[in-house]
Amino acid sequence: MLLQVRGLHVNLPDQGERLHAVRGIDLDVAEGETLCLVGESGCGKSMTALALMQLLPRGAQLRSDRLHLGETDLSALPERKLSQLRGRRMSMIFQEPMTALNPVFTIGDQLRTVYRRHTGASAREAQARAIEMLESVGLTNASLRLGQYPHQLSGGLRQRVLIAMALMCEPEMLICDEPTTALDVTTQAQILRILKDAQTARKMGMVFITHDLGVVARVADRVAVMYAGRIVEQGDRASVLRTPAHPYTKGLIASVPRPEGAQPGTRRLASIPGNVPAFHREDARCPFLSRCPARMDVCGAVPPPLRQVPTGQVVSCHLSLDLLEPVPA
Amino acid sequence: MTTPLLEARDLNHVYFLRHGFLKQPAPLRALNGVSLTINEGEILGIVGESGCGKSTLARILLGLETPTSGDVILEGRPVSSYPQRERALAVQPVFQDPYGSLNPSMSVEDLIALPLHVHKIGSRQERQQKVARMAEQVGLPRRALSASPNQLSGGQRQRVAIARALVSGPRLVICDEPTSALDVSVQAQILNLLLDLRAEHRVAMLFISHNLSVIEHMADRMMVMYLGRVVEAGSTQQIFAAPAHPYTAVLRDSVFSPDDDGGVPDLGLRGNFPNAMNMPSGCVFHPRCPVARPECATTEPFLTQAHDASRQNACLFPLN
Repeated sequence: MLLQVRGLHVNLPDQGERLHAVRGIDLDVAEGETLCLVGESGCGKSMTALALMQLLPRGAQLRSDRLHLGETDLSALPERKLSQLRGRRMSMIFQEPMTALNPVFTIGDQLRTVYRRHTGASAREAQARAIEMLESVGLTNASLRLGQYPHQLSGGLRQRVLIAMALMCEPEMLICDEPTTALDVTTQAQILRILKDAQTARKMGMVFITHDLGVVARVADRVAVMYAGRIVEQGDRASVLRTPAHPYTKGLIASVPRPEGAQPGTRRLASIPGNVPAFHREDARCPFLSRCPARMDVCGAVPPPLRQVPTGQVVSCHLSLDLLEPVPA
Repeated sequence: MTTPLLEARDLNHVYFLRHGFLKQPAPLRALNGVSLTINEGEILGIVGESGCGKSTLARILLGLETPTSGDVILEGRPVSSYPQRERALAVQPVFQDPYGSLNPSMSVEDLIALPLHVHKIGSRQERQQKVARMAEQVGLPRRALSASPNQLSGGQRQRVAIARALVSGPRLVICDEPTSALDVSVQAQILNLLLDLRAEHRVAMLFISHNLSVIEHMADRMMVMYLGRVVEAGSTQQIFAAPAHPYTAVLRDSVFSPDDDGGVPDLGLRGNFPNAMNMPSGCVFHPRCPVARPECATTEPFLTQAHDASRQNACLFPLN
């Protein structure tokens, strides 16, 4: 397994208390595989990404039973070793390409620096590599672009530059945190294609974080659904999206407006009442408890078991297996 | 034919942008010959990507900006002849950002009551009752009324914004990306709420979004905008079934539903989004269009009727 995570916890300072943002999650990503981490705001998906990169904000605490990239134990590495690893074996792409690029350096400066730092290449080699990478993400006039500053590029172009930068050293693992959320829809499709093509060509593992189930359907091999710091359902794309088992996953999928040819303005969407809770204390009970339409007495008393349902995915829920079993569409 | 609730005729709007201290300001045509009608109780959807002019259109219809040329006619009278207050009574906004559009130093109750105060509607007691009823209709809990908006969640803030927009009984609500900042499960609550309120109050809506599936869910009729122009207009169902303009088809194909897992499609879009300061010749979409022909670079298409009187598109070689 390329990336192996067991029992990952992250907590953050929050107005004098500790906010438990990630509460014991397990993830596996194989070579060439895309795992989509999906959930709504505040579910802990971005904190998970930062924890994988060991880039958590100051004051955050990370605890894990296992956090391995290949044979390397990430939790045991000193910061010096980590900074050698980031950008070389594992890279990250952020949602907002403007804040992820340094506004006072040219695109070329930033791309060359990454490459030279990790490989010790000459300036000339780094320049050639930067041009090659910009072309591979579909930028025309790459040598001209290298002399430009981030503010001279549109959001879509900036995101391509970030992808090129992340891939400069051919990492084994790419972590993408909502890489297309700030972009227009047509640009989103182009960027997703570039990412998937780059991944296939390199057999790279990818953790793709998004709140958009439509994007999940297009890019994921496997899906992990996060809610309030926990993974409530995890499995193959098709089993999770077509035959969701956890009440939260079902509700989330049903609330997406989708083409159905009905007269507009006539159909009500399914929605999940209430809001995502925040956890300041350890609480092993089901995080969806307060909003679940299928809540039972046992849910308030005993932590939910992890079980595999007949369609293959693993679900954390008290409902009996026959109730969990999805109705075929 | 009854008079439409609101009619916009040939709106043009030009911003002058200065690029550098000594340079002459350069024109940016944000709107180029945009016309539309909204009938009573109807939802008109406007869809387009950033820079297409949809928010400029909203600001003009709200009276926050005066168009460079063109007329806005509200219930048969030019909107420029309306006193500010009277127009505000008829047309109300709901903006995208439920964080920036509510004054944090006011209570939720005072925020919702503000339009009633401004228009001097009802006695103090009647206002209180109206606000309580409106808050209940939009699904705000009673205790939220005394809260400040920054104690509320994003979805609840948007409910406050909707209650404030509807409390004075406007005929038209202009919703500019009202759910873009919200999570999907909360978006579903807000879309349901808007449809319920439309059914109850017969209020018309101009619904602006970049999300085509939201437009398809909400709008009776829709307009697709690109670089300040309307490129296609008509009934939402018909446009989705068979888009006539290649840009509409690209937009439709770039909306991903959780049900489709065919990988990421190639939209066939060429080049990059053009600079609005330097509009392409001919059809403004031709440099990116997957099916452009040589004529498209030289001949400018105009919005013309196609199929039947209810549909229009601006393409020299329409699809379907």
